[in-house]
This record gives sequence, C-alpha cells and structure tokens, in this order.
Amino acid sequence: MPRLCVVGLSHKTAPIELRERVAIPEGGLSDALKRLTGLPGVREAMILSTCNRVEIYASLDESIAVELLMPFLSGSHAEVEKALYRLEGDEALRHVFKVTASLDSMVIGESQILGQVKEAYALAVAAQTVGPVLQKTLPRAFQLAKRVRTETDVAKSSASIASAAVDLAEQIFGKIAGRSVLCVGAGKMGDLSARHLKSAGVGPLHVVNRTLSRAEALADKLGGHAAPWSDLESLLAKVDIVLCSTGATEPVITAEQVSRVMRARKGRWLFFIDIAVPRDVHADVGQIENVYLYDVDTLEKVVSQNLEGRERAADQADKILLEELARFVVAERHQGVVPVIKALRGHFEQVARAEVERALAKVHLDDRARAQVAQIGDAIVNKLLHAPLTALKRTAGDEQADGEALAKAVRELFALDRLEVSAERSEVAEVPASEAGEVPAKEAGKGSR
Amino acid sequence: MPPLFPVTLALYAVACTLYLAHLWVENTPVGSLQSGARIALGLAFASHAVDIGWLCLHGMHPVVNAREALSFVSWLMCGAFLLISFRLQVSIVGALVVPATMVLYVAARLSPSQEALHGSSLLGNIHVTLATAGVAIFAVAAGAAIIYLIEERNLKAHRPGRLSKHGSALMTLDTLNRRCILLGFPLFTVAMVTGALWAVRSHTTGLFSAQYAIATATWILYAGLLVARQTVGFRGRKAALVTLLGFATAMIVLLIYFARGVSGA
Repeated sequence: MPRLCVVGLSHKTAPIELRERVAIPEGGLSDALKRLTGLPGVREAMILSTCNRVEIYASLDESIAVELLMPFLSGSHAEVEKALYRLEGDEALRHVFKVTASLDSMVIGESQILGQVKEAYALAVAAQTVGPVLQKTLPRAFQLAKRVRTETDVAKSSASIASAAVDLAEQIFGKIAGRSVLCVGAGKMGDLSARHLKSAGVGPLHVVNRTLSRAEALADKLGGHAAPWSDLESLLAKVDIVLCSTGATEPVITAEQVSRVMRARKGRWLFFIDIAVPRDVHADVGQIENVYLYDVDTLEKVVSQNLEGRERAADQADKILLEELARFVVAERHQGVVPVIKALRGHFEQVARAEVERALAKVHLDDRARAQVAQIGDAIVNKLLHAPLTALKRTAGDEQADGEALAKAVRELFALDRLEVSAERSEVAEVPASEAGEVPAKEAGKGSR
Repeated sequence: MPPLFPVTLALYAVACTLYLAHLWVENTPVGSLQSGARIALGLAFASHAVDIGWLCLHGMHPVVNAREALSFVSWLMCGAFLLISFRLQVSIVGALVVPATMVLYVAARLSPSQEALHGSSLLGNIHVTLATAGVAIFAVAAGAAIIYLIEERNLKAHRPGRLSKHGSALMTLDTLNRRCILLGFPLFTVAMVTGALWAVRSHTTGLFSAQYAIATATWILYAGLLVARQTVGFRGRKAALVTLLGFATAMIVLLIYFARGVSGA
C-alpha cells in the first residue's frame, strides 16, 4: 500500500542561502516531477517550491524508504541534507495540511501559500504524476485551509504596514473605495504604499513633491494627478488620506497648518500615514480633533499586535486541523475495509444464489414462488452478514481496535483473496466451503491494510 | 401581564446574546451571526408589538403610564435600531442598544402597575407618545455616541483593538448619530409644544417646573447640535459628547416622569 511522504526544507530549518540552492525554478518543475516518478517505488509526486520552502510530496511503495528522496533535493550536500526533514504517514499528512492552511508559514495566516500549493498540485496533475494518494490528500487540505480562513481570525488582521494602514483607514471611513489620497513625496516607499492603497480601491490620487517632475513621474505611474509643492495646503483640505514619505529632515506638515486645514474641511476626518523616517508630520498633529496620525512606529505596533492575535488564532486553527486530520484518517480506514466488505458480501450472495438455483432446478414452482425463494436466500445472507459487517465498519473507524487485523482475519477465514483471483480468471467463482480454511496466509494478507 | 411576555423576552435574550457574541466570539462567521441577530431582533420587535397591541385591545393607550412608556421606549429603540441596521454597518451598536432595550422591557413588565398619568386627554396622549418616541431614538444616537467615543480613543492612542476591528467605522457611527437626531428632533419638538399646551390646559404641571426646564435644555442641546453640524462642521467626538449630554437630560425628564408615576403624584 503506497503511503504519503514529505521531504523538504523551510524557513524553519534552513537559511535563505540553502533554500536558494535547493529551489527549483518554475520552468524546471515538470522535468523534475518526471525524474522523481522515474525513481524506483515512487508512485506519485508533486513539488512545492516557494521562497520560504522547497518540499516534495510523494507517495512511495511500502518497501521504499523516504530517504530515497533526499538526494533529489540535496544533491548529496551534507549541509542541505542536515536541513531536510522527512515525514511519512500521518505525520506527512499533518504537515501537508498545516502548510496548506498557512499554519507553518513565516507570517501565519498569509494567503499566498494556498495559491502556491494549488499551483504546484495543478502542475503535477498536468504532468500526470498525481495518483490516488495525492488526489485524496490535496483537495482535503484545500478544504481545511478554507475552513481555517473562515472559522478563525488567523488571516483576518493585516500583517504588513501597508495593509495595516488600509485597515485603519477603513476603521475611520468605512469603505476605503473612492476615498481620495494625497501622496506627499515621490520616493520609492511612497510609491509602494500608494500602490497598495490603489489596489485597495482608493479614489482620486494626488502627488505633491518639491521637485514637480518626480511628482509627475509617480502620478503617471499610478494614474494620479501631480501638483506643485505650493498646492500642499489646498490639497490637504480636499483629500481623506495623506501618505507622507519625503526625505525631509524636519516635519513638512505642522500642527498649525493642519488646524487651519481642519477649519476649511469643517472638521471632516483626516488620516495621516507617515512612513517617512525622520517623520514628515509633526507629532502634535495627532492631537487635533478628527485627525488620526500613524507613523512607522505606531503602524508597526499595530502589525505586531495583529501578529500576536494571529498566533492566538493559530491555536484554534490547530484544533480544526486535528479534527480534520482525525476525520480524514477514519475515512481512509473505512475506505480500507470496503474491498473486504464487498468481497465478503459478494461471496455470500454467490453461494446463496447458486444454492437457490440448484434447489429450484429440482422442483416445479411458478414465478411468484421462485421469486419468494430467491428473496429468502437474500434475507438469510443479510441476516448472517449484519453482525460481521457492522463489526468490520466499527473497528475500522476505531483507533484503539485493530480493524486491520480483523479485516485480515475475515479475508483469511473466508478465503476472499483466493476467491477474487479465481473470479478474475473465470467469471464463475464457486468455491466449496470446505476449502475456505486452506488459503495460505501470505495470499490472504494481500490487499488488506 | 400580556401573554406574549415570555416569548418576547426570550427573543430579546437571543438577539442580545447574538449581538454580544458578534463582539466577543472570535471564530464565528460574522455575516451569519449578524443576520441571525437581526432576525431574532425582528421577531422580538414583532412579538413586542403584539404585546403592546394586546394592551391597546384592553383599552390602554401604549403610554398610558410611566410603566407602559418604558415598554414603548424599548420597542421604539428596537425598531429604530432595526431600521438603521439595514442601511449602515452598525451591529456593534446593537451590542449596546439591544441589551438596554431588553432591560427596559423587563423593568416595564416587572414594575408595579400604575394609574394613568394623563387620563384620556388627546393632547396628553400625543405629548407622551411623541416624547417617548423622541427619547427612544435619542437612545440609539447615544449608543452610537458611546461606541464612537471608545473607538475614537483607541484609534487616537494607536490601539485599534477588538472593538474597532469588529465594530463600525467612525464615520458610520457619526452618520448614525446624525440621522437619529434628525429623526428624533422633530418628534421631540412637537412633544415639547403639545406638552406645554397640555400643561397649561390641564394645570397639571407648570411651564416653569424643573421637568419642563430640563426638557427645554434637552431640546436646546439637540437643536444646537443640529445647527452646529450644518454650519461649522461640528462632528465626531464633540458631537458624540453633546449627544450623550442631551440624552442624559432627556433621561432625567423620563425619570422624573417615572418617579411621579410610581409615587402616584
């Protein structure tokens, strides 16, 4: 029976220099998958290669050790080998679930990883290196990830300064869509944050800068309007959000100026995001009524509070993970006894049918009576099988009970493997009950879990 | 006691729990909790309406005395909040308004029955009904003001906590406050006029009584707030504070009225 295995390294076990060495570029993934599944005993494989982790998810034959996959990533470099973790069975399953649900990420709850795992899976599907084990595991992991996102706060708070600023703007204005923004300064930091605001759906965007040409360049890039420095105060009176990122050594926006502006605004709320160091907005501005001022330090404080919240939420997510894991394992175990149940029922039904037919051949009955005799045969089979089938199902789902041993015993007692083989050989599979006990144990164990 | 009291109370309790849960329970889908809370509150509102209707069928005006006025206030608060919750994302205000509604309702139903305060006078009935309606709507505004002040303080102190995250935006809360006062003020104004006329005609209380003076102060505060909002952009924290002050004075009037009802004066 093939089992799920994981070999890989992540930000938790290896520094970026090692991860870089092992990373597989997107273009090379299909080839790598083919080479992997070409290895002896590797039934299925997929590769997850992101900036924080490189991992192989594979299903290996029982006789193959998981270590077989290690040289594939390490290239036999001792340093890389030391950083590699290898997991199999339930541990591997738990790891795949954890990674997909973003509970193993550097920033817990970040949304990118789910997309990356989905892409890696799609690529393996396209490369036809996916089989029953991964086909069962990955979709279940995606479901779990969705549950974790909707049922816990793990992904609800923002984990970067830019997204924290967007959150704060929403706490002041409600929806951020359509709110006007003024970028004071046209540096790289301002550019990045303005892009984030833009992608959050803000409305008109204005850029002022001491050098007008740079303001124009940024405004062109972001689809905004550039204005000379002298327009600063009039623009402050118009916009809702001000993003400051100049390289000035002294504050360029003072409390007196903002007080004047607030009178012109008739007290409308104004939100300053000051990501410049040294700060662009004088600290006293934050004291003015209906003005909210967040600088790099205070934004970082908000982010770290959020991250703490995520850690707490991760505990709840872990509970969900364990729940799903247990459900998955039980379902798998149930799945494992299905062939035994099918074979046992098939065998009983076949014997009953044959005996009924033999008996009917000796007597003359009308159609109704024949149907009734056949029904009696079915009823006897059902009654006889009720208790053993219930026991098989119950022990399969119970971790304490040895369901596997029971299934094996049933196979052996009723010579189910031998019956299956003979049924395959010929369509007629009538085995005398007297032979049931003579099946070699080696054969009887085949196919059971 | 109206036969639907236990049903109404149970529905209010469910709505109350759900609005509070929205605030405190971390891993629950917010949307479904909100709609569940709103449905429970809607049913409570309907059941409470039947409760009030039952009294009317027994020949009692909805605000026949201070006790019934309390029940009526709570019913109107519930209605006003429900109405506004369809337009604005303000379920956090529900966490304040709905428990208050429930407490008022229970207080009304469990307090001893009283004599009719204003007899069958049409003017008296109009006055008390409108004053009650005005106060109920001001109560919702006050709820919004309290939440505004807490959230505003957190945001200013760079501690946008759970309340801000699970709550409503400052602007939404301010809009709720403004709309409630715009809605409640005309009712309260007519209540003041009819109250004055009723007092003069029935010689029950003088125009210069403490009760009337405080009611006038309430009216002046809210009138001033509305004018200041329109003219000088008076909003946010200051508007929330004035709202609370106005509501406090309105509550004093209501308490005097209630005390008179209890003492039978």
